Parts: sequence; C-alpha cells; structure tokens
Amino acid sequence: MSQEQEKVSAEELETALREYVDRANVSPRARKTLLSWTCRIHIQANDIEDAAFTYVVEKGESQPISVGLIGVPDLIVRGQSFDLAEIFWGDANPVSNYMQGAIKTQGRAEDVMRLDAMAMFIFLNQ
Amino acid sequence: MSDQKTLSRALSLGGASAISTGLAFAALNFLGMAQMLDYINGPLAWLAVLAGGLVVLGVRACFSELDGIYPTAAGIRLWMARAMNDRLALVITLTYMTAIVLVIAADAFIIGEAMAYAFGNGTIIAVVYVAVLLVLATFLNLRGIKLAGTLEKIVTTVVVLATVIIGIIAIAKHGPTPPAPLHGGSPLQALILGIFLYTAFEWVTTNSEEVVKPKIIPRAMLVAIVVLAISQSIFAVAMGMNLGPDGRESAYPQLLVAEQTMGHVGLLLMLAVTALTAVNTFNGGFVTLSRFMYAVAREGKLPRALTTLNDRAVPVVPVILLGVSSLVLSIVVAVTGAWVMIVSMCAALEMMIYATAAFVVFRLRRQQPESERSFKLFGGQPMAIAIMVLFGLLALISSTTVGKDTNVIPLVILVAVGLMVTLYVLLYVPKLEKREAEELAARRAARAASRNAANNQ
Repeated sequence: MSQEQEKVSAEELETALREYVDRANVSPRARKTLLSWTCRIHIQANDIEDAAFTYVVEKGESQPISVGLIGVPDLIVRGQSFDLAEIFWGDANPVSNYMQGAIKTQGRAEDVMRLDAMAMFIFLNQ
Repeated sequence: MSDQKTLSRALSLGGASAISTGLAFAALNFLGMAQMLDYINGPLAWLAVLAGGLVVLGVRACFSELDGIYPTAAGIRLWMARAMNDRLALVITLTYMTAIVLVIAADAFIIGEAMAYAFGNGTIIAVVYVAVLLVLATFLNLRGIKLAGTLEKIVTTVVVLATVIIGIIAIAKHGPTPPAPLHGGSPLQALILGIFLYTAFEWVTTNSEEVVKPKIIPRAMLVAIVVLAISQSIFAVAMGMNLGPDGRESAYPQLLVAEQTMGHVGLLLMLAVTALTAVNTFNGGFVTLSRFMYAVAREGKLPRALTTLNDRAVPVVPVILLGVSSLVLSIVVAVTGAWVMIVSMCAALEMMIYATAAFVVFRLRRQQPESERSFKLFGGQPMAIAIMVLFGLLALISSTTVGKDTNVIPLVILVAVGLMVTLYVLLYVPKLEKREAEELAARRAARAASRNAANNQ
C-alpha cells in the first residue's frame, strides 16, 4: 500500500498489465487451475486521467489488455495507480492491498480470490 | 463505492435476503428455541423472539453503517483495523471465527442425532452420520462446489415455508399445553436466546461487493430479520405448546414437534428441513472461514501453508482444518452431550462481535466524521455506546450460563481460546510480518533496479 501516494502514469500501468498478461499465459499452473474461469475485469486508477483498462480472462487464458472500459464487467478493481501497478508488477499481493482497503473491488468474492490466485501462481510459482 | 451501475452477476435484494436469512437459520436455532422455553411460557415465546428481533435491529444499523463506509468482503477485519490497534483487531477476528467452527460442528451433530432418531439408530451410528456429513461437506468444498444464486434462494424459501407450515399445524393440533417454567422464568435469558435466533444474519455484509446499489445489503438484513422473526416466532410457540421439558432437552426438538402433530411423515419432513438448514450453514461457513484464513495468510499474518490452492483454486489446508476440527468437536459434543454449552459459547461470541461492531461505529464516527455513510445509525455515538454496553453485558451473561444453570466453563473456554490467539498474534505474527516485509522490500528493490536499467537504455 503506497504511503506517499506515489503515482505511475497510465502508460506505465498499461505496460505493467500487458507484462502481467504475458506472464499469466506462460504460467502452466495459472492456466490449469483457472481453466474454468472466465471473467471480464475493469481496472481503474482513480488518481490519474485515462487509466481505465479491460482485462478479460477466458477459460484461464488472459486476452490482450484493452484500453477503456469495454462491456459489462464481472469484476471491477479500483485503486491508486501505484497500488494497482504494484500488484501487476508482483511487488504487492492483491489480497494484502485489498484487506487494507488500498484497492476496492466490486463483483463476486470468488472472482477476487481467483485474481489473487493468478498473481500467486505467476509471482510465487506456487 | 458503487459507481458502476451494472455488473454481469449482481446480487439482487431477493438473493441477498435469502443469504442473510439462510445464514441465520441454522439447525442450532431449534435448540435455541427449546432452551428459550425454559425461561418463558410456550404460548408467549413469540414475545421473546420479537424482542430479540427489535434489539437486533440496532445491530443491523451498526453493520449497515460500517458496510456503507467500507463495502467489502474483508469488512469485519478492515473495519476493526481502522478503528483500533491492528493486533487487537486480529485477536478479536480470529477468536470470533471460532463461532463458525462451533456452528458447523453443532449443526452436523444435530443432523446426525436427528437421523439416528428418525431411523432408529444408536449414538455410534449418529457419530457415523456426523462423520459422513462433514467428510461430504469437506469434499464438496475441495471440489469448489457451492450453493449459489437461485438454488440458495430455493433452499432458504423451502426451509422458512416448511417451518412456518409445520409450526402452524402444530399450534392448531396441539394437545394440553405443557406447564410454564418453574420459578416464573427469566425474561433476560429468554431475550438472549431470542437474539441468538438471529445471529449470523450480518454475514451477508461479506457479499456487499456483489451489489450495485449500496442500500441492498441493509434492506436485505431488514427483510431477513422480519422473515426470521415471523417464522421462528411461530415455531417457538408451536414447540412451547407441544413439548414438555423432556422433549426440549433432546438434540432434535423440532423433529418431536413435527412427529407429535403429523406423525412419521412430519418427522421425515422436519428431518429434511433440518438437513437443508445445514446445507446453508455448511455452504456459508466453509466458504467464509476458509477464504478468510486464506486472505489473512496472504496478508502475512497466518502461516503460508494456508495459502496452498488445489487445482480448483480452493484453499486446501483451511478447508481440511475446518472439516477436521468440526468433526472432532461434534464427536466431543456427541460423547459429552454438551450441545447446550455450544449454544452458550456461540451466543457469547456473537454478542461480543455485536458489542465490538457498535464500538467500531463509535470510533469511526470520531475518527472519520467526514467519511461518506450511505446508512447512519440512528442516535449516533450515544446509541453506539448503549448498544456496545448492552451486548457486552449479554456476552458476559451468555458465557456464564449453560441451560438453566450458572456455569463459567464457556467463559473459561472462550478466554482460553482468546489467550492462545493473543499469544499467537503477539509472538508469532511479528515474525511472519518481518519475513513478509523483507520479501516485499527485495521485490521492490529488484523492480526499481530493472526500471532504472530500462530508463537508462
């Protein structure tokens, strides 16, 4: 959780997301475990302009990131740009930020849990 | 936070109401009703249930206000961490989670005993039923199978309607009313047990991120309280008009009421209703506790082994731990016959958490007066203090009363659990936090180095 409200740019956040998607797709554990998971996620940074993205996971496979909020989401993740970027860089774990209220979500807890599981598979090689 | 007006799978008022009602309507409630009748005359039992409902409206207001500030599945953990020392918040939350194990164990025990009674088996077979139920619940959870959506609504509707119908038939066909309690009863004890009949309705706040309108959760809790008040008032009166002290001391008084008025068909019908209440309890309890343990472990405050996921993204260790601890506890209850003590401990833990919720409302009103609140407790800080004091006292009384007797064993057990949790939080959690902080610092340093390298190229 960012202490001094550090910011990253929309471009940096987008890059972080794209790298995250690449990592997710080469993680055999993430793809196997999340094989039955399909989820449209809207990601919004609330401290910088034009930082809204759509991330779609279809049967465990991460689709390329789209800029803007597209379609009706299953899950919405909002937070400060740095807190969001730290999650997709793998520097902070989503649940920890979530439990401390640094990021806010809307949607089913099961989807939040699977998003966290994906991060754990990618970065902790569980 | 509900800027988004549409979610693909948003929870409706009906769905949220069913969850709230289903979580509160446990098999253990029937034993609560039976105990309540030791303190109030059967035909007047509805008074205690309604009085309990009125007091619980204050609890609903506290949880609604907190949910309005932080609508999150991590609610109870986050609310407390914002209002008090994080270590204290962790101690209270982990101690409170004992209630979920107790309720699951008690419900498994009640169904095991009820099945044994219905099919003419003895205690050993009842224990086998309990074991089979809990192994099945653990297995289904490990497979990621859970009751959701329409099915959850159907189960809750069937439980409520069947309870009301059987209750009305039992009132209409009752024989001579059993004698009133000796020594004129006890309104305070009856009130505590009346409140107990609503406990866990507030767990629906863990679904608050699934709604698109913030008002849905407070309204759902209100609907649940009304439904619980009506259905349980009717059945409590039916029980009071049909069962004497001997019947009320059994582990399946609801079956005896149905059998007495509708014969073997009624008995089997009530057995099915009891089993369905457990479906809701197991479904909610296993998911809530296992996901909570996973999240706290991911936070770095419980051992990392608890974050191990199976190929269905289910936290394996918490689910197995919950299944095993519930099984052990239900066997202990079956052998010792101490289910009355389970009611006391669950009631005490719930009263404790209600008192804590009121305290958190009070603290956050002081610390964050400017925070947006979609729901406000009527009466403000004085009302929050009054609710805190009331439930603090009720927690003390609940933990020192078993059935009709004063008994400090529940209090001793709860204090012992609280002390163990405190020792864990004070001695072991700092080590976990240190390791977590070191790993985080290393990851951040590596990331910063790689960003610098990229910028310099």
